[in-house]
Amino acid sequence: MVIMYVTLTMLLLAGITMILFDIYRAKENLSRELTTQARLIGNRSSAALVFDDRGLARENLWALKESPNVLLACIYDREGDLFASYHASKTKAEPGCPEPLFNLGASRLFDETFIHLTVPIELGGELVGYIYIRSDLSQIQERVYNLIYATLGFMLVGVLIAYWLSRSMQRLISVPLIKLASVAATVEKRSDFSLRVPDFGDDEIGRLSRALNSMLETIEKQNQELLQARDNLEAMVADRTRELEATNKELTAFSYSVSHDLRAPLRAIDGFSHALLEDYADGLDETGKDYLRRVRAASHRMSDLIDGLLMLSRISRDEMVVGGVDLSALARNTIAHLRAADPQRQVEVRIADELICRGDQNLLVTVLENLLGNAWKYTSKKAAACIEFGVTEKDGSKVYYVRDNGAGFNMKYAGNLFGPFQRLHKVEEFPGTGIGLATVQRIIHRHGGRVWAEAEPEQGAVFYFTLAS
Amino acid sequence: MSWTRPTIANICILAAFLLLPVQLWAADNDKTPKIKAAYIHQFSHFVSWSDNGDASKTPDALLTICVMGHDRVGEYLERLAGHSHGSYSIGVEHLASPSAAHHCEILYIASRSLAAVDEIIQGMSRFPVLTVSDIPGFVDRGGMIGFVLKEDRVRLEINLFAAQRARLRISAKLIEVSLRVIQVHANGGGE
Repeated sequence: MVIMYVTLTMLLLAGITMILFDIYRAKENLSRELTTQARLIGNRSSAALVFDDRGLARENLWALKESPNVLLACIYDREGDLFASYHASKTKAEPGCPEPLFNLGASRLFDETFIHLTVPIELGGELVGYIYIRSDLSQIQERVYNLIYATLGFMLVGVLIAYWLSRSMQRLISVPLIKLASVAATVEKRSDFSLRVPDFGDDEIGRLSRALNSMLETIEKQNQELLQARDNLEAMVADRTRELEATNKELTAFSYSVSHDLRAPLRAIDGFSHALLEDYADGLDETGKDYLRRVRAASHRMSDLIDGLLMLSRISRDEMVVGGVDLSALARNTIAHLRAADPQRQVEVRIADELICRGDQNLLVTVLENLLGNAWKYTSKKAAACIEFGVTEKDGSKVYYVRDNGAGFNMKYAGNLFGPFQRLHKVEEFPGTGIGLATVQRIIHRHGGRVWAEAEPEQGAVFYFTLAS
Repeated sequence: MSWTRPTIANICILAAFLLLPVQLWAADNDKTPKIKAAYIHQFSHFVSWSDNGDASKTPDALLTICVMGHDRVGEYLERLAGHSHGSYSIGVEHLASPSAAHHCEILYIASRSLAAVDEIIQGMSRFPVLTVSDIPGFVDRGGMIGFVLKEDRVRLEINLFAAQRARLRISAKLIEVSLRVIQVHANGGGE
């Protein structure tokens, strides 16, 4: 648009200048031409003037009929009296020769439509008369109109050319750029690197589009490699998971069957030991009886271990039934059972209200039984035992905790805490199978959570666990 | 005041109107020799006396007009003597005999007997002297420029042959204004 305005203005200025200059030049030319003609006719008519031959003077003036613009020509004697005249039009509607000649001497006068020209006629350096010519300016006017039309025409052509130029500029630059931008935007929006821009030729835009295309190609290739790597990885993970699951299942089945099969001989050992102790007590001295009691205690412990192992394999094997679980209620229930089993103990218990979560109720009962049971057990040697169950916030997710002021443990053994059959205390001190925390860990993992502990010897311990939200 | 009572002024105006044609005729009658005299000295612009020179230029910057005989034209010509005419001045001489006319540029012959005119023309025919006269038939007799009256205007007749024989060059403009131009020998065949 700017180009068009500039072009128009320039053309207009150039046109006006040209027209003004041309008018000036045309007038000068016309007046020069007429002066020459007047001089010629005057010179030819000098004899006619001197020897009073009006007919000849008139004849000489008639030569002007070849000049269509000359409307009137008059010859005057040296006193300014009319001597001969010539009228271009027969009608004589035009005003005739001015009488007497208004201006003695050479003169040139332009008015609206005419040029008035007076030239003195001399003979041998002496003035003998004047010739006056009135000429139409319509030729000049026509010329001016023609020029104006031509200028307007040129302007039109100029504007069209400017328009065409801007259009082709647009086609050469703007259109390819818009196309490039839209392709880039689409690539960004849809992450579709298979898009390409068309080739725009050999100029800068063309190079830019080719660069963009090769960039897109590289990205697409790398993207494909990444996707392939991810797919491979996923397939590998899936394979491993399947293998692990199979192995796990086998292991669970094995431990179950082993535990189950171990029970029968154990029952035989315990049963026969019991029978021996009851029925043949007379035949045994105190040492023999003590041995038999130890055999029985060991078999009871082994039975507990087998129960723990069965439990462990069961929680790994059983389907999870997920629903809303009121942990506060479960905790209170567990504490009530613990109090009932050990009514002489005085333990301060604080349980937070409204601890609602999603999970398998039976499994979560097992978690709370183990954690609260541990807390109950390890505070048994404290005078003012205190157990707390609550929730805290960490990194935007809920962290449940069970805190006690019991025996605690040394943190350097914390890594062994959750392995099966790992115990940090002697059985004589605190009874237990070493299966409880392993069970807790397995249940928490099945819920997509995490379990860990913080403790200090004789200062108590805190067990934290999270559940998948 | 009523138009039925003529006043002295009215009568005077009437008388003036009645006398006007006579006055005009008298003026015209008086004007012809003056015009002829004026024409004679204008000839210098249209006649060249040297073969290669251009019109209106004499070698000594003095245009000598000689007059033979006496008439009103001669008188008017005399009045022009001493006048500066463009680049040269005019001298006027009265001659008694044509033998002294060789140094003249223009020779005006006042009305004379035709025999005398023939003689003068004969005598001057080889000299570059422009012979002018208002004698009727002057150019037919070998004179160069003759004045005739046509419709009360003084017109010219030119004998171009005679002028060329005298090595005078007469401008086409002068020929243009002439009533009659003689191109060949007037008296039957040139020499």
